Amino acid sequence: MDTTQLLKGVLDVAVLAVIRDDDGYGYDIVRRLRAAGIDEIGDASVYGTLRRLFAAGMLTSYVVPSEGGPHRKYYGINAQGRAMLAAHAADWNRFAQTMSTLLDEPVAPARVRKIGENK
Amino acid sequence: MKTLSIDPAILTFAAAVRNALDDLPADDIDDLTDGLEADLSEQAADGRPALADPVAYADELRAAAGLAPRAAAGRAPLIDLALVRANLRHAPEDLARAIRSRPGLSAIADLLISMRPVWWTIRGLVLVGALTIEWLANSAQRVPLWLWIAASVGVVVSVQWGRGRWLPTRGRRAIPFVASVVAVLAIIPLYIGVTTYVSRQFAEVYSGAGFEPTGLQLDGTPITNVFAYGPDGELLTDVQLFDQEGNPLTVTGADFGGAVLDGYNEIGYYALIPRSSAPGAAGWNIYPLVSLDPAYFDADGLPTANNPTIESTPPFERTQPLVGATVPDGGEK
Repeated sequence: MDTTQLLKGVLDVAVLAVIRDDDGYGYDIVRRLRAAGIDEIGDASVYGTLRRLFAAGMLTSYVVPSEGGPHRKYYGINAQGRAMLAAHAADWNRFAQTMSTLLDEPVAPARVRKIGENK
Repeated sequence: MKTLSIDPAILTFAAAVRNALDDLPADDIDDLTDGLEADLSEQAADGRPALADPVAYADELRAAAGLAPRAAAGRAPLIDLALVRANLRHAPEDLARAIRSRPGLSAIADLLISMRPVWWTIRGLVLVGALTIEWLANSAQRVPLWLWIAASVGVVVSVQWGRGRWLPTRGRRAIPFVASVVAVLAIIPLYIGVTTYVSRQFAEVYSGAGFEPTGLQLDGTPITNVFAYGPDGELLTDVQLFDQEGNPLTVTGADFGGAVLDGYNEIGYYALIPRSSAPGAAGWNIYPLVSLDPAYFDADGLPTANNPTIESTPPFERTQPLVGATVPDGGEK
């Protein structure tokens, strides 16, 4: 199954999750996501998501000059980002539970009598 | 930022990405692309796929950042129409407040408001004038009666509009306003048109064919009769006069078609006709012309049919004889 569409819905949470403990810069975060098995998302999508989360006030950002190369822009999670991550994590767990239950034990369809059919 | 160690292809790609985002505010572009070169370099070092389409990359950045696509985003319009409309809608009240808050301006405004009927009148005249002046100037006629009537109607309609009457419900305010604007714009063209028309009318009066004096004149004054005296000082009759070209020297002018040359002088009405020796149209240069006898005029003081004639009264009974002149004597010299 193509998980790209699924991932788009949860990319925000995924990005918040990989920087929950350590600040990271753009490609660093892409690398962490890939290491976690999220491989189908383009790097531009990750960078755009970082910018959107930053604009929404979930992240802090700072620029670090690097020796002999271009500067890097680091992102870190803040209190609001943590609160959102927690809320989304709870939502996700509940939703995933529901889905798992649904997929593991299909609900029997209600039986409907046809016309002329006797009990 | 040091860029020496960056692959030129990455620099080009990043520049192209920024270019594809250039409809966004500069801050947004910076937020989206700060550190892009570092990320791309590192990705290249990781052996990830080569750089692809910078526009698609920019679109992905933009979409993930929750910004509208470029096509839909467009540029902010140069003129915010909604704002302009709102300002215009409030302009009358704003202006009124500004004027009323100043006693001097307020007094002037009251005066102008009392004078509005004057403007309504002028507006009516200007609009009718603007519609007709070109025709009038080209026709070079006197102002015809119907135009006076039209002007009166225009004034009445304009004043009624000013009073809020004779207007459809829609356009109750727009029609008088548009009429005023058109009238203001028409004033200068109308002024030019009227000036042209008036100057043409004057030219018509002083040099037009209809008013050009004909016949004999002395210093611009028309001559009605000619009296010739012989060398002996006696009044001559049946004198035939011609000019240097051999044209009959008539007091009436060459194209005169009437049977009687009449008019008013200091004495009163006079009526002259050719002498009986050369009656009719050919006799206008045979002098002196004879007068219709006023004794036979009708009750209105005008000639009757077959009104008898008398010799016109000469200015002098005789003049002084000319010394040394040859006096004709019985047809011989």
